[in-house]
Amino acid sequence: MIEVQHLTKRFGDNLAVDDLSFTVKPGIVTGFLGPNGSGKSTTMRLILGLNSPTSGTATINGQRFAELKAPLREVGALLDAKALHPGRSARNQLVALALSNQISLSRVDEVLDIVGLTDVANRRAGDFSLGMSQRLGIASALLGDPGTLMFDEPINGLDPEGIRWVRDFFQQLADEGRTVLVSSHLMSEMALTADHFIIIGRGRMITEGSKEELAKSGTGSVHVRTPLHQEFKQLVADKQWQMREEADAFVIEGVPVAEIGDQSFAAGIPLHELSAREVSLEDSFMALTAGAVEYTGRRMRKGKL
Amino acid sequence: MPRVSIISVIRSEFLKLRTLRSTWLSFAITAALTIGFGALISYVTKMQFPKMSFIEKATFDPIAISLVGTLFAQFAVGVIGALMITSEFVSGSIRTTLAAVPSRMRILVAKAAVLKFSVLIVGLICAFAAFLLGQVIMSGPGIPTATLADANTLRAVLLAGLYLMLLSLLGFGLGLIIRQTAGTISAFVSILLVLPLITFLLPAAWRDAIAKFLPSSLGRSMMSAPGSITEIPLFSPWAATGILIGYVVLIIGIGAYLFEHRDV
Repeated sequence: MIEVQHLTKRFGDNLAVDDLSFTVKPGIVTGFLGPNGSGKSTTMRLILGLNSPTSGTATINGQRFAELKAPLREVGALLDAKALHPGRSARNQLVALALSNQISLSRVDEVLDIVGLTDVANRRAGDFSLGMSQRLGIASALLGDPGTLMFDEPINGLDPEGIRWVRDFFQQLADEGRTVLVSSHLMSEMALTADHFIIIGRGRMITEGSKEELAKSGTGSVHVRTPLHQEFKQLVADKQWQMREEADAFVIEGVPVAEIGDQSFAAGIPLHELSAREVSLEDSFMALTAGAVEYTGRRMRKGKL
Repeated sequence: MPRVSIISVIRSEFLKLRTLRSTWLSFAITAALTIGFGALISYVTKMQFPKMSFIEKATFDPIAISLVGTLFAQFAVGVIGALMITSEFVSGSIRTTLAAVPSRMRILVAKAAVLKFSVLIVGLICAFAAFLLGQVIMSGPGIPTATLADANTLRAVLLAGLYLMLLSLLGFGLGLIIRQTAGTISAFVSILLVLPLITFLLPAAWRDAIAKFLPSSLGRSMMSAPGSITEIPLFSPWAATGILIGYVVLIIGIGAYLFEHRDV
């Protein structure tokens, strides 16, 4: 169990983490979401005592990280897969960690086997792809068989097989009763990985809840296709519906399907498609964090950069 | 339940040091410079001895000549010390290290202990080898050579090994403060090469007052026969050793304070 209370971290003028409070419970996978630069990594570093908070506290099973007697046996963390000495072999990276916490060396071979790196264990870690480095990072988090696990953007760089493996694996760790916190800036990834979500933006809590709770917070949309474009647009304007045009369909937000069908029928407009689209978790996430995005790219105009 | 102890962290840090190619390469360079340069300079000196002036012959110091390679090897051990900590900051692996061992002082003490031990052993082996080889090369009619049976000679050779150890710790301390490999090595080279050059631009009285405090001058004193005549005044060997230890303690102290209080 990870408990974060009123955690605040200021870097100069920049408030990286702003009065953040949440609890990560054991037995489920908790997704930690937010746009780039929203403070996810800083929060994880604060939990691990790597950065000292400006105010507030973070505890693991009621203890500050610095107070743990054998940290790797209580908390396993993957912060940055590429943060290792490129010249040392994968196996020796793990042996160094195992020695420091008096973990048996047979456990090193065990975790290498779990993440599927046994065959490349003696290769220099600097030659690893990002995906292989992520696996090595996951192996080091597992080394002490800890009850609490934290993974910062573990899915980056994994191939499709690896993504599926990691999802099942996180679920399995949670099913064993462990506390699992996984960060990502991609809701589409986390929707399939996590059961509970903590969403932050600009260092502040935006919302927290289960998959179902989050889905409800967005509104559904209805896709309409019709041969009579002008007449349908007129109808939409008359009724003051919110509508946008996609390549081959009109998309109307926040109006029940039956209402659109009835009004089109009354106006004598034939419909070739009338379908309600369930709001995706990704849509809710985009809507929720829209105001908190640190870096926004602009849409490219055709033929111009 | 097994827990983190200073011994377990030392074992971990020792493994880290010996599983890097750069460590072995730097130690090989240390040996090549100390022994190889010592042999080369000893040979050149022997060839020139008959042509030397009376004063040169009177101030001839066979100990300092055979150990002159350490003044080149100091850069190699400085790099070992610097890399020991900067490589972790540059790669970001310091976070993995501290997520396994939260006590930063424990990491620092373990790293310094492993560094001290390794460089002292290698430094002593190289110093003795360079000294003995140098004396063998220089021995010839009329040329004075030194023997380890003499207490002062033994002191000079032992302090040559200690000098290399202290210089590696200086590199380590600078690395703790600067946290970047290139910057740390630049600072290290500046202290050992650029500062002496600057002092030689100063008026003679100032130079004589300042130059003896430079680490390179302290090293010369530690590795010379006592009372050898030099172009600048030097401290006695033991005073020089004390001052150099003082520098190392100061720099590592500042580095330790910053390491304890800065975010990583």
